[in-house]
Amino acid sequence: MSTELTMPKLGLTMKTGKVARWLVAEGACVHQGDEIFEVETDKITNKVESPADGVLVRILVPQGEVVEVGTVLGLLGEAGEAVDAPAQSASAPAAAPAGDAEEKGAASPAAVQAAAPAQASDTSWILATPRARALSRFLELDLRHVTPTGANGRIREADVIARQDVLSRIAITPLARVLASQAGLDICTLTGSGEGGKIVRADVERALNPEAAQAAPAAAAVESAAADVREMVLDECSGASPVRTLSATVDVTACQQLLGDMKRLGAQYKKAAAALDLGLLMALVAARTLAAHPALNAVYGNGRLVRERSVQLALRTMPAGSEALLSDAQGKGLLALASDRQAAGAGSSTFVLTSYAGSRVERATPALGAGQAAGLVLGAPVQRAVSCNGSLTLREACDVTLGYDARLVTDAEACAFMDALVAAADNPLLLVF
Amino acid sequence: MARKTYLQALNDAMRQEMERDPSVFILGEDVGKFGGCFGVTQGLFDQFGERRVRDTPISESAIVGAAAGAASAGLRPIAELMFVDFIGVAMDQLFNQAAKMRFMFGGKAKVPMVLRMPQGAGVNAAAQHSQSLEAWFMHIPGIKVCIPSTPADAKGLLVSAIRDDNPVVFLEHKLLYGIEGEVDDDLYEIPLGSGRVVREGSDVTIVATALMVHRALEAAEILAKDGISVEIVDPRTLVPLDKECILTSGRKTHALVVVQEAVKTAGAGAEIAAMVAEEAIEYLDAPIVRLGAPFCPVPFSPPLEQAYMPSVDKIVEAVRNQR
Repeated sequence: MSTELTMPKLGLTMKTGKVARWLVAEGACVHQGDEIFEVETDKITNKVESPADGVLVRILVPQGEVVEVGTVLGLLGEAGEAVDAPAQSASAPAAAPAGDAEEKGAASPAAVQAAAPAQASDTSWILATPRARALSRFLELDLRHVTPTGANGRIREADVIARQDVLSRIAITPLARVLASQAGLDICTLTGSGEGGKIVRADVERALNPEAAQAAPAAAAVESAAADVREMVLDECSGASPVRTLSATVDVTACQQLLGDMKRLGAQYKKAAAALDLGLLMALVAARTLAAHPALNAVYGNGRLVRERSVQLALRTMPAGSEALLSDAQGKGLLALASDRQAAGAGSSTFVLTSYAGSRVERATPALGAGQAAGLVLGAPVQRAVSCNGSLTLREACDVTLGYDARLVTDAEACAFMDALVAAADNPLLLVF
Repeated sequence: MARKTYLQALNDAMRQEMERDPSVFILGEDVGKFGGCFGVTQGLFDQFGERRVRDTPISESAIVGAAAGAASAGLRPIAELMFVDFIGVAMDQLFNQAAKMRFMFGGKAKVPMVLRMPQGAGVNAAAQHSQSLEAWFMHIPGIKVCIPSTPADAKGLLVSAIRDDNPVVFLEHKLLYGIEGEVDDDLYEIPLGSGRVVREGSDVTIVATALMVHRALEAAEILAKDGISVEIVDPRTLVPLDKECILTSGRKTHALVVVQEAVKTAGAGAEIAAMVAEEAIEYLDAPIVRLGAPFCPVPFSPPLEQAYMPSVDKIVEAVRNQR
């Protein structure tokens, strides 16, 4: 469905108006409220805003022409949309002098058809500087999707760079990228349903064929809908965050053994020894578990919930009260984390782990960082008698408590995370695999 | 080094070359006792006498023709016309004779002459005494064209022009005769075909000559306050043209504005713009802009003459509107 852009009536007496300037090139993306063309009358000059998001798929009245109020000037649609020129006879453009009106009327629709981008990939009709064009060729970037900022709607090098910058931040699978490019789709207009909002093949196919996608109940769509509902709830109750907690007991005997072995056997661990403790090991376990559960490694801000792929883990150590940021913690080994901890770097985190392992506090309620979906508390280790193969044996155990914002994380997601965390902490050697 | 005017620098170049080389002599209307229409040859008659500083009848064709003949016979004449606008009557002597001898005689003849001519508007001298005609001379193979903008360039280029074995048209801007600048007391040459980066910048290249170099510099100061960094290139000679100097700057800034005082149509700026488009179009991130006078004769009325010439404001506006 395309939206018609018409000559607005800007005053009581206005009968005709001149399209002074198109501010957006044919084929470019526009957002609702973007200035899209400039109208000039004998009284005023006014910029007209786009009524919707979309792509300016067709300019029907070139700049400089005077037309009657209500004349369709251009069509707004979706990227790659095939558009038929509307019946111009219903609202024929009124050329100024009556003498050549007929001639213009006859020439106009034909000219429009000739100028229409018959081949979807043809960008020769786009106004762009040679440098911008060369760069777009080099980057294999479609000029039709670049928003111009130069004079007369000309695309400049900076516009191509800006577009490339946007594209580079969109998460999309290689297959989806190829499919979208083949179809001439602007990937900016696609909604990702993959992990962390990544655009996957199904999203491209849905954009190309919306009806078929509706008929088939796609699991991904359900997921994204659920996320949408949660965002709405979040907007409505932006007061105190409803933090729920889940607790579990972790057997840290193996963890302690591992730490002891490292300190005893490895001279190369000497430098890191001071930073090697149960809190750090739990940080590693939590980071790797979070990488597989991005729902909990999420931050809400500016009306958007972003599920981060990399874990920026803030490790708070009690009772010292010190804090260190372990950046990209999911991909680092224990020694790298130890050196991060010793550097005591600061920065914005996605998840907070508070370790009471060096204290006598066994349980605490996690406090969440600003906008963060979840956080974890590690309690002090205690000796517990547990049943093992029919006899009692002493094991060292800690309580771990997960706090999560119920608006951002479902109970099921939180539970799945805890199960995985406990399994990994019970036997840290599993992390090797 | 000493501070000298453009006029004194030209006078020095001729005096020192005449002291060095007895084959150099001057001819033109009122160049002798009177010292030249604008005073450029002042004092030379007294120093070198009437055989080497020769007053001529009021006949441009005689002046240019005699210079071409003397040059082909082994002397190094410096001919002066009062205004470039008078070259019309001597055009055959220049473009059909002087410019072609070396080619048509298989290199057996050479024509080491200099034709000095003041040009340019801004002095209320009306349509027949105010033109900028550099493009005429650029179009004829066999003539070199100098168009200096500073006293130092004026001296160095004139020395090179005198020593060159080809006819050199030397265009002096009337409004520049009084400007001052540092000039070396010793003789020095500025090779013909070497442009100069007058001001370094990163956002746009302005190529300008003669008076327009100074206006471009003023415009660059204003644009710098807007955060637009202007590089200014003065080619100094239009034939030969230092293409590499212009292209290097254009490749750096990705934008080109060419400013000339002459009418825009078929001017030196058109040649430069076309050359850059041919050789560096892929480097450009904006259309090339040419700035020149409107396609009409120079008005006599002072306010109209000011409006006619490319001004600092027009250069600023052209650069702002380019992007």
